[in-house]
Amino acid sequence: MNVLAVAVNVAGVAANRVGRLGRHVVKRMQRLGRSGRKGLASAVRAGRRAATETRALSLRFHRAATRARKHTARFREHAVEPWLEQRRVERQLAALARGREPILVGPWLSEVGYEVLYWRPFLTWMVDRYGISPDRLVAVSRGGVGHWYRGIAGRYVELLDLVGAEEFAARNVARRAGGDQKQLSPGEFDADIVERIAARHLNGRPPRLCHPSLMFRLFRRFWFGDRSLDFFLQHMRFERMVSPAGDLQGLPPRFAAVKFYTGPAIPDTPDRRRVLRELVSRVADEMLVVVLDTGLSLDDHRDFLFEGTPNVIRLRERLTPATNLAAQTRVIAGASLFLGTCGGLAWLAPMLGTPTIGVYADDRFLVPHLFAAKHAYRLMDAALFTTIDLAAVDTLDLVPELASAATHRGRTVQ
Amino acid sequence: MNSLAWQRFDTLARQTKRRLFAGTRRSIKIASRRTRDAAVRSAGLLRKAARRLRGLRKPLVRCRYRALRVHEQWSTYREEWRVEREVERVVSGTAPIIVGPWLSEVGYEVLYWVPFVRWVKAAFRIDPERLFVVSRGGVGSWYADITSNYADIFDEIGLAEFSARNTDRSDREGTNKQFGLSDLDRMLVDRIRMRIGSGDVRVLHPSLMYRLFKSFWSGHRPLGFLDSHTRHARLVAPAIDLRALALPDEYVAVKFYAARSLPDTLVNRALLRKLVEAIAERWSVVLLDTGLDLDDHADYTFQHGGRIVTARALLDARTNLGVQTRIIAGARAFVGTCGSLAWLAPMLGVDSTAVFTDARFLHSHLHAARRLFHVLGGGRFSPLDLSALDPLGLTLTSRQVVSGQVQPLP
Repeated sequence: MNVLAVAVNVAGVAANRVGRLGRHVVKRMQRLGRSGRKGLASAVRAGRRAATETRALSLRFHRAATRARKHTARFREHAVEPWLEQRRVERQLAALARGREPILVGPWLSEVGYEVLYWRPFLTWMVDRYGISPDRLVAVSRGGVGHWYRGIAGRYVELLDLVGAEEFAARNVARRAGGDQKQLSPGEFDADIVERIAARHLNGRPPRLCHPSLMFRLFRRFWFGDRSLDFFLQHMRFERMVSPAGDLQGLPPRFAAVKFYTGPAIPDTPDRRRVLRELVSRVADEMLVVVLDTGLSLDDHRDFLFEGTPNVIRLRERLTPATNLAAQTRVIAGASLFLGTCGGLAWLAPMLGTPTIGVYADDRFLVPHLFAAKHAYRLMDAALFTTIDLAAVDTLDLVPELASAATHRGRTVQ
Repeated sequence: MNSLAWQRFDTLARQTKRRLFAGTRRSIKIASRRTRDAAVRSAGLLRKAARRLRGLRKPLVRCRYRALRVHEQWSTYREEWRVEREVERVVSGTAPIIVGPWLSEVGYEVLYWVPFVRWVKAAFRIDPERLFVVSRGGVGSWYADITSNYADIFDEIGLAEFSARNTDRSDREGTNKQFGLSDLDRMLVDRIRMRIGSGDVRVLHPSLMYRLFKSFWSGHRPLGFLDSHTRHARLVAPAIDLRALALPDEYVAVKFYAARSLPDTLVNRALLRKLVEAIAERWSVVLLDTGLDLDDHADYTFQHGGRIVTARALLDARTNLGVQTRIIAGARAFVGTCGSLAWLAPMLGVDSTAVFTDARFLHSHLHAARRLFHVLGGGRFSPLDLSALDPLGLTLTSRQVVSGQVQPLP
């Protein structure tokens, strides 16, 4: 009995102990599981955080790298490349200056505006900076503009004496179609002209070439806003131009020279024509208006005509291709006022001492040129140069309103 | 024998003498020739040296100019780097930043300061809540895309005190531009600091902008430099109720004030009067003359009545620029002196005709504005040089007008 009771007790104690052990093991296991889960969760969280931070860090690094890359690219594009280009051009100019061979400056095939506002002052600077004797320089341009190069080049070769007007126009159109209106690099046409000049004027000796592309390359960055006004002025010598000799073919002492042509500055629209006609009529009320209409197709600009407007005459009959710019220069130099599209001859007129009003309807492509011109004219003590925005005149309806009241004016144009 | 010996001796003596003296004579002759040659040669050498020296003059002058230029450029760059470092220091950390106080011309604020602040905010990724703009005349809307925290100077000091202290500041500094921190700036900064309630505040002062862009205005830096330190954006007009003014449906906003670009002369007064009358022939005209003595630019006043109305009734110091902005935003076009609000109108999408007779002090601003407004695509910006109308016979300086029938300036 006792043995049985002892056995039962022992079994009970053993069972209790086993049970307790089991519970303890279960509890320990549960605790382990919980802490394991917690550890795992925190590990996952830490992992996630680390991943997020790594992502953020890499994003930050990527952004910083992108920013740095952009900064570097911008610095290279806006500072380093312009400077390198300047060095290249200046080296080329220094190389040109060495030796005694004749230097052909040109051939100038693009717009008149760039020729008078940039090319001529650039050449003046070049001659002075590199100590080149003008006797070595042979200017090549068109329209009889030899006097524009007086004091710069000892000789002038007229392009239209070498090639006919039609051939010139056709080949210039082909040149523009193949690239740009600006002469950014010497082309086939340039090479052909140089060859003909060497054969005809230089006894077959190949000249050195100071091509307009040098000037375009040097100042392109100024026009784009990457080079300062200081840089521009350091590479220019602005001097007033002497009026060419010759009479004004019966023109009165007081007249206005007018030249309006189509282009980005004044797109050809009926409204623009109307406002321009009104402007020209207003001037014609005061003095004879000479319209410098060439009737020649030498570039992509077409002249506005003011037919039927009283007191307005045209110069077309008096112009030949080989002398048209010389004749226009002479007329502008003798005029009391020049009124025309802002560009081309409007840049020339103040240099000849003629008060000038440049008219435009869109100044998008004029911004750097207006800025340069204002400073150039101040430096060369040129005549008054001012502009009229047709949009302002039109918006305010200035022409008819003021013109009607102007009949009561007590003063006249000087 | 003796005589023969004597004869021989005599001959020898003569020969010796001749030889000796002939050598001496020859030496003297050679010496004199050599002296002469040396003189000629020295003169030649001197001439050559002088020629060389003369030739050196040009490269030396060029070198001097180049050195001056390099020095000038170096100074410019150093000043720019200094300003950029100062801007970095100001914006670093988390302390509130006082932007201003703006005390000078409206034109510089609109064309340069606001875009500069916008650039600083974007370039340094500043939380808008950190920025507190301080300006005058209720121009919070000009900074709306930068921050909504705006404090008006006229909430801190009265018009008379502001005008007096600002004039004093300009007189002391010799310019209206804020090239340094004046007593008035310090006082305003202290007051705004108290209002913000933070001990540690930074100040993004207009002098940073003036110092940075000075090189652009003087032509030492290109337009690209300005582009890379500004961010231009269209502006939105403030929501101000203008019903009290009973403005016409369609009108042209006009603001002419005397400035160096449009000086107060009898001829200019007459021209402007005729211009306003000419505009009033077609549209109603709202004159933005404030009648407030805020700076040295006095407004031109014109006879109002008929189609010409004035907004003066609604313009007080505290809100005058905000109200003018609202009026311009609702206008068909803006016509005014080139500067100030003429730069603002295109940013509000309104065509602006900026009138002047002397562009000498405007070249760099016109250059920047012309390009900016093309890029921004807002209203059209048309500068109008009144001196250009004269040769065209479009100016109206009739005797009747010149003789004094113009409105006097206040």
